[in-house]
This record gives sequence, C-alpha cells and structure tokens, in this order.
Amino acid sequence: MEEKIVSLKQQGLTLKQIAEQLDMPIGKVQYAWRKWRTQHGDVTATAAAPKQQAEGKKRMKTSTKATKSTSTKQVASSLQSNASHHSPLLEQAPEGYWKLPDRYDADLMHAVVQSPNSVYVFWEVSDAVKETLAMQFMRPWEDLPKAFRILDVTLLDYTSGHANRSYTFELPEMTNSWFVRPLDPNTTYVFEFGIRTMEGEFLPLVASDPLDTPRAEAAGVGRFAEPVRRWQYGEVESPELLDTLPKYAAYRYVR
Amino acid sequence: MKPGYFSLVLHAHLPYVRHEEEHRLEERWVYEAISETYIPILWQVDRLQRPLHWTVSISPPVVEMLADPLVQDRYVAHLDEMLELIALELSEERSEAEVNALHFYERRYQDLKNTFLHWDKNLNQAFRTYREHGFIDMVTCTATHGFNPHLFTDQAARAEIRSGLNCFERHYGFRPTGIWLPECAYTPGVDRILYEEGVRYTFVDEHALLDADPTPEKGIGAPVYSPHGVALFPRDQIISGKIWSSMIGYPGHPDYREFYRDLAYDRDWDYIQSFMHPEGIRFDTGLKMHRITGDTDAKDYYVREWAEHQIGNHATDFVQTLEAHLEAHGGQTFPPFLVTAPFDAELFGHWWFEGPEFLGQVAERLEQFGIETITPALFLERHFQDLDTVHVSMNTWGRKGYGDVWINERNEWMLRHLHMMETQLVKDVADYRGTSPLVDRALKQLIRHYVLAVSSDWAFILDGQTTAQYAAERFREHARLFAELETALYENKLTNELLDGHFRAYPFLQDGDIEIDTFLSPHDYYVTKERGTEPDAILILTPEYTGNLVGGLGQRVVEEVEARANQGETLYVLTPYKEGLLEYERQGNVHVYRVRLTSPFLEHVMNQVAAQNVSYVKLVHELVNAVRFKAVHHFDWMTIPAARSLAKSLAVPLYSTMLSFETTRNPHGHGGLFDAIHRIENSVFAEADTVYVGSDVSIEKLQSRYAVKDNVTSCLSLDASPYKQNV
Repeated sequence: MEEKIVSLKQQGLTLKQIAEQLDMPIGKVQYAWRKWRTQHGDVTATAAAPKQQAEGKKRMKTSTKATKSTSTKQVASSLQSNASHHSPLLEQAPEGYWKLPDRYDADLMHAVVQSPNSVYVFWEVSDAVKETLAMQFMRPWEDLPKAFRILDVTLLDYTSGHANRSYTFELPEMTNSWFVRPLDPNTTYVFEFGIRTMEGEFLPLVASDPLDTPRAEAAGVGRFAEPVRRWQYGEVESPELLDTLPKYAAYRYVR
Repeated sequence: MKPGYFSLVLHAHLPYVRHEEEHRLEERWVYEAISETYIPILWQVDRLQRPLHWTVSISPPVVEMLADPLVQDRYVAHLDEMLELIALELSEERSEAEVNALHFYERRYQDLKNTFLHWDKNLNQAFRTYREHGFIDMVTCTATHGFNPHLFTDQAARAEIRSGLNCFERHYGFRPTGIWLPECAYTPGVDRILYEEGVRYTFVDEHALLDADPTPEKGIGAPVYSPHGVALFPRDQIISGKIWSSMIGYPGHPDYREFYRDLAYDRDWDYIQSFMHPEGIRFDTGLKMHRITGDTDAKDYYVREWAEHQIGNHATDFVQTLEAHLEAHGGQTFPPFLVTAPFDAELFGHWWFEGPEFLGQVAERLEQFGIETITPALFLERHFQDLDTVHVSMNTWGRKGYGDVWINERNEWMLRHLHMMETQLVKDVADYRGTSPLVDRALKQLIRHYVLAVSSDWAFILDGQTTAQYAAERFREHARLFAELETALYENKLTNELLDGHFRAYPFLQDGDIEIDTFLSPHDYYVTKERGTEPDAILILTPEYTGNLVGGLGQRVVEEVEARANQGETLYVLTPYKEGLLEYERQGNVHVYRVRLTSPFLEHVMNQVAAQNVSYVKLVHELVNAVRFKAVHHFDWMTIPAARSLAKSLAVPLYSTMLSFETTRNPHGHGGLFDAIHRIENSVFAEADTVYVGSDVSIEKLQSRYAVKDNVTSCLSLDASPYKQNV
C-alpha cells in the first residue's frame, strides 16, 4: 500500500486525491507518505531542511532541538509542524501587504482590569476545538450559539466547582472580545466563553484566570488583611494573594 | 524646622520618536521638552547649587534620545533656526510689546544653546553631574513605559523593568533603588518583580493607599509597603492639585504664557513657510507671544516681568498652603507626616511655561519657612521601620484612577497582539537561546521590537485621538518587524545585515541592556535542556484508567498500555480527572494525564463528554510543542470527537477500540441521547485505520446499524500490536 501511495504521489497527485482514489483515510496517507520520505531522506522535502543541514546550523543546536526540528520539517500537519511554520503574527492582506492577524489559532482567554466595575476580556478558540465540537454535536461551529459567563468566585476555588453567583449571556457570532460591565469592586471573577448546547446548558471552551477587581472605597480591615499579615510574618510559604503577572512557561503541560 | 516633610518628584518621559528620516513632526516633541522643560529645570538646579531633594525620574526613551548624536545635532539646528526666526521677527516692524517678548525669547534661545553646548549636547551629563554633586536624586522608569496592569506575564514586566534599569545604569553609572511605574500604575504582583529586581520604592496615586486593605494607619501621610516589601509613596492630591489642576491650579493665571497661541498661526504663510514643514504643514514654532489674559480669545502680549511677579506670589502661596497642611498633621510621628508630590516633568515648562522657575522659588521659600525636604530614598533610610504593610489593588493616576485611558474601545485592539508577542518570546527564548551568537542577537532584537510596541504612549495617544494615526502606525510597525524577524528565525534566514537593518530602524537600547533570560522560565529550561528526547509516542484517549476502572473497558486499556509499554512504546494516556488522583503521573515510558473538564459545572452527560473532548484537544495542543505523536488510539465512543479531530490535525493514523456499542448495550434504545451516541460511534468507521471491537460483538450485526467498512476486526491478543508496521 505504501508503494502505491508513493507511486501516486510521484505522479503528482495530492494526498487528498490519493486518499480518495485508494478509499483510505487522509491521515493514513499523510502518515505513510511522511514515513517514506523520512526513511528515504527525500531531498524534495521542504527546501529549508537540507539547506539548513548544509549550513551546519543544526550542529550548533542541542541534540534535542536538532532531532525535533529535523523530523518536524517534513510533516504536512498544522499541529505537529514547526517547519513551514512562521510567526503567528505574520499575516498577509489580500493585496499582499502585512496586516495584523484577525485571530490566532489558539485557545486562550485573557482578562485585564479596566476599572472597579469593568474588565476587558479577549479570547481565541482554535480550529481543532471548533472541529471537535462540530464532530461532537454534528453541527458546524458557526451554527452553535455562543455565550459568555461571569463567575463570582471570591474566596472560593474555581476548580472545585463552586461559585458565589454566575451570570450567562448570549454573544453575537464572530465576537472575540468584550468589555464586561457592570461588575462589583473588590470581587474575584472568572470569565468563560463557550457555547450554548441544545439543552440550553452553557459549555465553556476557554476561561480566564481568576482576577480581582480593584477596591473603590476604604477597606477597613478587609479580606486581604489576614493573608497579607501571614505572608508578611512568614507564616505561609507563598502569598495567598492573586498575582496578575505570573511566570509563564511555554511548555507548562509537558512534564 | 517644622514637623513633617515635603518630597518633590519629577518624571520626564516621551515615547521613543527618533526617526532616521528628517522632518518627522514627532521629533519636535523632543525639542519642545528640551527647550521648555529639561534645560529650564537644569537652570534652576544650577542656580541654587545645593541639595534640593528633588527626585528626577528620566525614562529610558528620553535618556536614549538625549544621548543620540542625531537628535543632538538636529536640536542644535533647530535652535539656530529659532534664532534666525527671532532675528527676522525683530527686523520687522513690530509693536513694543512684541519686541519685548521677542527680546526675551532671543536671550532665552541663546541661553538654551549655550547650556546645550556646555554639556557637549548630552543633557544626561548635566543630570548626572548634578546628581553626583548631591543636588538632586535620580530614578528611572521601565524600558518603554509599558502599562504593567495590562501585561500578561512575569517575564514581560521583568524585561521592561530590568532593561530600563540597565539602560539607565549605562548612562548614569549607578542603579537606582527606586523606579517610576508608568502612569503610576500598580498591579498586584508587579511589586514582587520590582523587589526581585532590586527596586525598593515607587509612586502611586493616593487612592492606592486610601483603598488599601487594611486601611493604613497614617492614610496618605506616610508610604506603605506592598505585600512584597516595595515602599509605595502616595501622591498627595490636595497639594499637587494646586499645581496641575486646570481649575484650581496656578498655571491658569492671566499673566502666564498662553500655550495655545503660537506665532506660526499669526503670520502669513509666505512669510513663515521657510520655518515650517517642507510639505507645507504649519506647526507650533514655540514662540508663543501672548499671555493667557483671561477667558477671552483676544489675547494680550506676554510680559515676562508680570509673569515673574506671579511666580513669586504663587511660590509663596504654595509653601504657605503646604505649611498649613503639615501643621494640621503635625501630631503625626513614627514616621512624621510626609507630603509626596509626583508630577510629569513636562508639566513644568511645556504646559506651564513658568513652572521651572516656580519650582526653583518654591525650593527657596521652603528653606525660608523651615520646611524640610526629603527624597524617598532618604525617607526610607530614616523611617523604614515605621511603615504598614498592606494589599494594594490595581490603580493608576489616570482618568478615573484606573485603566480607562489605556484600555477602551479605541485601543483595545492592541492587547491581543501584545499578549501573543509575550508568549511567543517566552517560547522562542526556551527553544532558541544559546543556539548561536546570531540567534541570541535576534532574540534580543525581538525583545526590542516587543518593548517598543508595548509603550503605554500608543494606547494613551489613541485614547486622546490627537496624533492617533502615528501611534497606530508605530504599533503596527513594531508588530510587523517582530513578525518578520520571528519568521526569519524560524526559517533560519537570519543574517547580521538583516539584524543591522532591524536595529537601525529604532536604535533604542544596546544589546547589553537586554537580557534574554528575563524571558526564560525554569520549567521551560527543564523541558528544552534536561528532559531529553523521547521516541514518537502513541496518544491514548480513554474514559477509564487506573484508579478509575468501571468495567471491562478500563481493564483492557490498562493491559494494552502495559503491553505496549513493555514492547518499548512511549505512550501518553489522557483520561478524565478524578478527585483524589494525581493530575499527572509517570510510569516508566507511560505518561498519564488526568484531564479536568473545561468546566466543573456541567450537568448534562453529552455536554460533559464534549467538555472532556475539548480539554483533550487543548492539552494535546500544548503537548505537541515538545512531544511527537505517531498515532492516536482511542477507547469507547466518548473519546471519538477528540480522537478524530486530533488524528486529522496531527496527520497520524487513528486506531479505535470499541468493546461495545450503544446498539449492542441497548438494542431497543431510542431517543435523542441514543441517537447522538449512535451518530458519534458511526463517524469513527470512515476515519479510523482499524476499529477493534469486543470479541462478543458480531461484526455482521454491526453492519446492520453502522456504516461499517472492511477496517473492523476483533480485538487482538494483548501481545500483538494493534498498530500497523509503519507506526
């Protein structure tokens, strides 16, 4: 079968055409083709790969890196490829000029404070997540109703599934940011973007980290006084306070 | 001496507007600031020749532009042009009042030029000299005045702070222990980074303390410590409002110079043209010939003597007000009452023309009145033991006191891209640092592009809508340069010439000021340097696994994973999170991730399943940065959507194990849920390489309910690999 795929590919068929002709899943065809090329050290694989080796750049890198990028050079996949890969900020307008991307193929939600009563939230949902939902609900992404939820998690652990109160509202299609207002000062919020399912249930796709809205009046001795004191006197190993500038790790889920 | 202290703080900042090309209008911002504010303030320091306890903050963009020969030479040319214009004006038939004002300007511009040349055209030398004489104290600001509350990562905030301090130290020969936070914007956590970077004090607006938790005992009469131990000096609004407020402040007095009336607009175009922009744009010359006069459009000419008289009156009034304020709080001890008055330096001279002379006279009156002046650094030396520690929430000195100026409908569009640049920098540094000198240089240049893009000035200008186009273009330009250079890095197309070009566009900060490792996280260091390589892995998606075995399916998964692991395969098992079990554990070459739903609040089964699938896809998105998968193997219908989506996006074969089907478990089932599960099950046949079914499942019967193809077979024995050879 592999020979057949290689032969058809060399005749100039696309992987999609081969998959159709052989009545095989495209993933299988892609994989077989990639495997064959890796094994045969195909020089017609992306132009960049052999050139890089010729320049000896790879040798200057650590072995980890070299292995990783040499093999990734030859993948026709959007996810597993670092090769054809360019900066996510690089996008061309139809006229060929650079433009700021309208969206990023990622899953994230960031919230920043505007005032004690309002927070700016923006988010991205990746193509893969959209496709997964389409496969799950058998409806295209565009047809799934979008919604936004505000959770008040003051003095609670969001991941435990508890909230003091919540409010969900529908969002127009194609929305990827929102000024959330009015909110209460001195409250810990989590924001979520998601879809409204057939049952009317809100299904979140991305969520912000918990965020405190600023106080807007004298606190007296408020909810922060004790945590501050414990941290000040070294009674806790790390402060029990939200930090709006956490250390970020690109590989945070790789263990 | 009277009880209490007064502390004056002046913050000099402009965005980095140095352009190689000539005649950029924005460059005139620098000339105006030098002529109206920086040199006039230096004149006062020079006149008084004694410790004033003023704290002068100069932001790195200002430091770099003052040190830039291109800017310096153009400024001298600008002064010559001004002197030429004044000479031309004096050669015309002008009224006596105009001639008097022109003579004032003639002397002034000659003095400006003398002073500028005296310091070898580099005013950093002047500030540095006066600081070394002990006349003033100095601090700096973050690299490009980035608005900390809207940064996303520790790394970006740290890079702004550290490269700012490095730049300042290179020019001034010392590292300040204080810093001016851009827009006096404090956000919880920035104090941790400041402390770690050696900064011990900064400035905030007064509501930061008034609304702190717990409420500080001394209100705004003393600084407080933030939770991480940085002293926060509060702006005293009553005192500083006397100066900056357009309603109650001094600068609006009728005898002071009118800011909004410039000679350029009082002359015929043919006459003034040669002093204007070559493209025919009329702009302020800086010769403002009128005084405020009153609430009228009919302005009278500026009479310097009258203005000087008012400066004296206002200096006395200010110090009397301050004296009464200090006396009202005279009972405060440990520490004594402190009035902190932080200002934008450009308020003095640029906006309020007579401001620098006012400051000089205030300094003299304070001595006469016996009011003690102090710098924050000295205050802390004396009173560090007497300050409360409190929690301060996000706040700024901007409109309404929070973030309204820097995040609103006019400028919100920038934030998405800035956050993307931050996370990209973290990833690029983890992946590429130390690869080669060229790559390291590129990483520094990427950081340079980022900090230039993150300047709070662009958001500020877009909010004000005055030169909005320039701000938007500058932001886009830095984002584009970032995108192009990052792509060159990925495509291995870096050259020294390319990097020279990027640097020359905005030669802000030397490479030595920028430290790549500010963007490195210890965890990324571990993953990229120490974790080692793994063979291509198999991704397992299963609803049941060790610790969460419900029936035969889970048992089968555990056995299969064990068998494959024993055969040397590397496996990543993704399975639902269960309370009491570890979210991650590793057994040899088997990585187990127990994955939380996107939400803990879901009730409906199908939605829980969907949330689980979305969580799997998101996690794999993160893993593929470091892990290569060669196959996806899912168990049971519940994992089918994620498995299909991932096999497709990873471009690897999909294997399916279905020990039972909804139609075999529930032969007479019907209804919405039954139908939905059936449809999901049915979708796997078309896309899986092989579907392994339970030994008690009749493939023939399946064919009556599903679109079964010839890729269905009974489960293999455990020692036989279910994966095809080429996997």
